[in-house]
Amino acid sequence: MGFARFLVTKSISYAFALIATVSILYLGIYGSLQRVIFAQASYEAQQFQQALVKSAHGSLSQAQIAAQVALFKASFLGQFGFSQPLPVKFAYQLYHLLTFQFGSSYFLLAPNGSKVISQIIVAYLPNTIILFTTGTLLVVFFGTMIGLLAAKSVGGKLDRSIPFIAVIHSSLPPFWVGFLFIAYFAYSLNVLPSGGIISVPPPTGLFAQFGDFLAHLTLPLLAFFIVNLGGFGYVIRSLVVSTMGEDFVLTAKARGISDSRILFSHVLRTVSPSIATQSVLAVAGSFGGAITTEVVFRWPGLGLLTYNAILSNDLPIIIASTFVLTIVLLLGLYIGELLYGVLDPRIKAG
Amino acid sequence: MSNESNLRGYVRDFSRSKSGVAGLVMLVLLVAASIYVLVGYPPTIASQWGNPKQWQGNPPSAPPQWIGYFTPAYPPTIGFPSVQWTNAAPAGSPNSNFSNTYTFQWSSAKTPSDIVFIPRFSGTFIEAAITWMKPDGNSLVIYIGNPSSNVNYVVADPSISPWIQKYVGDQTGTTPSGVTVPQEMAALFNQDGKGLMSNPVLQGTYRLRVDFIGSGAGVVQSDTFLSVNGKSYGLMGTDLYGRPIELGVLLGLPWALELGALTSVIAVLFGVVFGGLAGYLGGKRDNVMQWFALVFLALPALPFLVALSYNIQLDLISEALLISALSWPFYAIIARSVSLSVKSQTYVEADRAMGVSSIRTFFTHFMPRLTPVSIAYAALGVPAGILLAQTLAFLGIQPQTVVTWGGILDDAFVQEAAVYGWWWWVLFPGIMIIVAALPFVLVGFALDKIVAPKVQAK
Amino acid sequence: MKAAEEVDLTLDRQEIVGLAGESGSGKSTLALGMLRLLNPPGRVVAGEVNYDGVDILKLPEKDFRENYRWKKLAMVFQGSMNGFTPVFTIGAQISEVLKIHGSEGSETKVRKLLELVNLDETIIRRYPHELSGGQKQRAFIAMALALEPDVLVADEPTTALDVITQANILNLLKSLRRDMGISILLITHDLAIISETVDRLYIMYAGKMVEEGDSAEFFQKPKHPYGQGLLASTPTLQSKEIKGIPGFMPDLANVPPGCSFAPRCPYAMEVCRREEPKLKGVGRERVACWLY
Repeated sequence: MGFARFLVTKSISYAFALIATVSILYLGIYGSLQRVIFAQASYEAQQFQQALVKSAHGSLSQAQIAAQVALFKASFLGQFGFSQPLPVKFAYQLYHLLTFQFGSSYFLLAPNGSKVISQIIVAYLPNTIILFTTGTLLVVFFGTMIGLLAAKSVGGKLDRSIPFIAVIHSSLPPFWVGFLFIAYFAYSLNVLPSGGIISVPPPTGLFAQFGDFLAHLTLPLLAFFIVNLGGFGYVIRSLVVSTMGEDFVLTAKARGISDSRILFSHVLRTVSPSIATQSVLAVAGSFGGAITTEVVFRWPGLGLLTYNAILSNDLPIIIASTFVLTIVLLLGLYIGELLYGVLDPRIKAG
Repeated sequence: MSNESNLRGYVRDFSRSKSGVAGLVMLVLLVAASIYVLVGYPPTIASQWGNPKQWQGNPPSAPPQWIGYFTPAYPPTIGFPSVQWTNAAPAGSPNSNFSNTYTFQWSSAKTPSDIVFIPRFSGTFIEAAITWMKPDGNSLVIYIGNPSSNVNYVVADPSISPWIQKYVGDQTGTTPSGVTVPQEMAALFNQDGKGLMSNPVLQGTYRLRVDFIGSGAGVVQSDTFLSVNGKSYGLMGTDLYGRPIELGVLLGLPWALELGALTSVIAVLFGVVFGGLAGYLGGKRDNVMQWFALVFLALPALPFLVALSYNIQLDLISEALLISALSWPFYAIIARSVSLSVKSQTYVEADRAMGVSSIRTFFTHFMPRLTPVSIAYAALGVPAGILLAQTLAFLGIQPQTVVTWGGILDDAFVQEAAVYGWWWWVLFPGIMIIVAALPFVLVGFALDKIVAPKVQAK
Repeated sequence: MKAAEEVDLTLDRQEIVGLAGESGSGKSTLALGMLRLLNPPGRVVAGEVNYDGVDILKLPEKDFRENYRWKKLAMVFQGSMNGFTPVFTIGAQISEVLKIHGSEGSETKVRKLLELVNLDETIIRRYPHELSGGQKQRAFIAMALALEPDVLVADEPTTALDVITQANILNLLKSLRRDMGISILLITHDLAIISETVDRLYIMYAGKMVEEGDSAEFFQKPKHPYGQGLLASTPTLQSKEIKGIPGFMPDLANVPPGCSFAPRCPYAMEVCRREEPKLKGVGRERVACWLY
């Protein structure tokens, strides 16, 4: 029963947080958002006018057409609460955001040529997910290993190098690492592709295509891994070390359990909720940094999309993409907390 | 436990940490360098940096000069300090004659790629005469009629190349109909004689005498520029526009440090007070405060700042505030857990039982316990601020009036530095980011190690 | 800093021996040292722990872990400590101890052990945090008994537990000696507990043994001024005021010369401040005091 209550309270809390966070986002982009909506309205009005003119076959006068177009535009803007007081406007526009109705982009297109933003995002998001989830999983796995092994030999060689690695992690600019990697591996050594997700022209055959995909995945993954491993390993090590100072570890030793079993069974299990949370956080957080990694490696994901939108001033996409990334992060935090509750019996068993 | 003895204890512990002390030393050096930059360069330097025309006097895309140790293919660039030009004409004469002799050593087996001379003067001059003196004693004179100020005179300039053509003819016996820049350089630097154009480079002392002859009140300014451009430049090379990377690296320092420090201080201050208070108060108020922190934690830093930059003009304060607004939850979370463990150790309950105001107790008794942790995290927070700001700059989001390493890297990326192999353009600004972040990390870790065990002691 | 010095302690079969002293007197450290559980920077500098003729301090770690820890010597920790790993059930942990040492870890066995300490079998599936303090302590004792050790070291087993539970645990310990022949070293600061449970006792002060011997004799007539003070400060149902011993235990890192109790002793003499007294036989006890 304890868990059910936990689940409900957390979900409510996060639902409210969603509204609050998106509101803050809204405040920050308010100006741009209004411009975008207005531009959208003008665009739609234009389309409407053309269609109207075509279908009217000259049966309507200029004034009549203009009047109908104006009506259309007003009703469109009305959907977004344009002439209403701020709270109402906010509600309308928030609704559109939360239901993922982003409208159309200014310039950029989806691979299938569509300008509908939700389609564009859906086309590019999976690439981001693939790259960063894989990267984070690798970081989590090796980071946990390193953290555990370092904690096992506290003060030993491995343990003493952890702070170094963590220090490097905290001072390395990720985009620069990627840049250097490309310069060295792609152009200097010429062993790996310099960017993108697939070669042009793509190789034939499923195997070759998959291999090509892997080749393209390697450098960004490697750069991501190197930059993030140290930090995660350090966090895990700290967690494990502080847990090892707890009473139950002493008593476990007292009752004859071997050191390695204590570490890999008792301690690991005890910190696993925290590790799980950190992992989920890491995945969700990595999406936020996607922009720079994808830009440097020209990886066609949400980050590169956002960057191209920046370059071409495609505001609707920038807004939509920021919103999606916010949702992803919140979702990650939410799942992380739930996972913690599932794994920690102290919460699950009430 | 007096605060005094605590402080001394901390200082003593800190001085035992080798990495901490090293970090502190680096920090002092960085701050000193920043002050040097702020004092030694005019505030307009940032806009000068952004103006490619300013740098045309330098060889573009040149690797660092020390590459000459590894390969002779990149002769160095020789620059000259600014000179006070004096009027050599006798007093009372209506004419003016500003004169200066530049001297340099050339020891490369290859000729420079160009020579750039940019006279800067006020008033008018009838003529500028450039006398080129080679180590073997030969010389040639170049006459420029009606020289213009602030113009780049290179060897290919129509007022210069005919004279070099003539020199070639004098030496070899055949006057060419036109000369390319490499040929002109050969003429100026090779051993003389009939085989001038194919002779090896003459190494030794070269002299360049420039005379400005005027009939009035013209004055030659000290920022007149001369450069013998090799294929390499300075300590860190130049970018596509001829901008010295070492200058960019230096100019980026003050702002990077300022922003990092400001961001960290604001975020840590707010975060620690907020989180500490949450842990201290406990109960429902704690839950609400945690929720509030969650709301901000959920904002993805980079995308949010990117989206925001379309509505807000970025400057030091606004960018620092924005970044802080997104980073304070991290410190709040840490401060809260520290606060909870402190609470379990102390007499807070006793205070409350006695009816002492909660908030007041918090600030007078509780906060001091959180101070050491705050300082440790303030140090650790700076690199995050620096990195985030530089990443934004890489994406093109930065205040217009500053030079940033991220911005330099942005240019490098856009200009495909990786493709062309201009590794110095990529390497040094990036290393600088690390150099700026590293000392804070070292100091922060050292502080954290000192502070943490004291907090967790049960 | 020496937590304990020149301590000589004997425990015979089926004996319950008490080790008393204030917090910080070094008794817990002694216990941990005996079971080789001291974490660096703590360590055993000199001495031996003679178990049936074997100096267990000198054994290789593996040997000690497999043959002595928990099999022959078990320890019950302070009642306030988290003895159990929070993420495994009680049953799983008891069963684990059995299996680690080569025994069968069946649920039947676990149930039997829990019976010994009067715990219901529903405890098996519970997590530590679901149990009360008393239940946890009893479960831990059950786990300590799993391999039928000869010696049980109980370090403040009743601290932080209510009086009724205290009594239960003490009775349990007594029955363990009586029914299973286990020798118990009971470590506590609470003389009241010692008075009704132990046969002999040792009293430590500032890391040194100051009085030891027959329990009954001590309680009738304590000899060392510290022992007297301790007894006097133990509240009874009749006491109207709580009498303490003035002063504080010296900082173990800076022990003054002479008898460490001298600064607080109402009978302190010249010699007390100069020279440390050694244990001397007085009646059926031994006392380290210049008064004798």
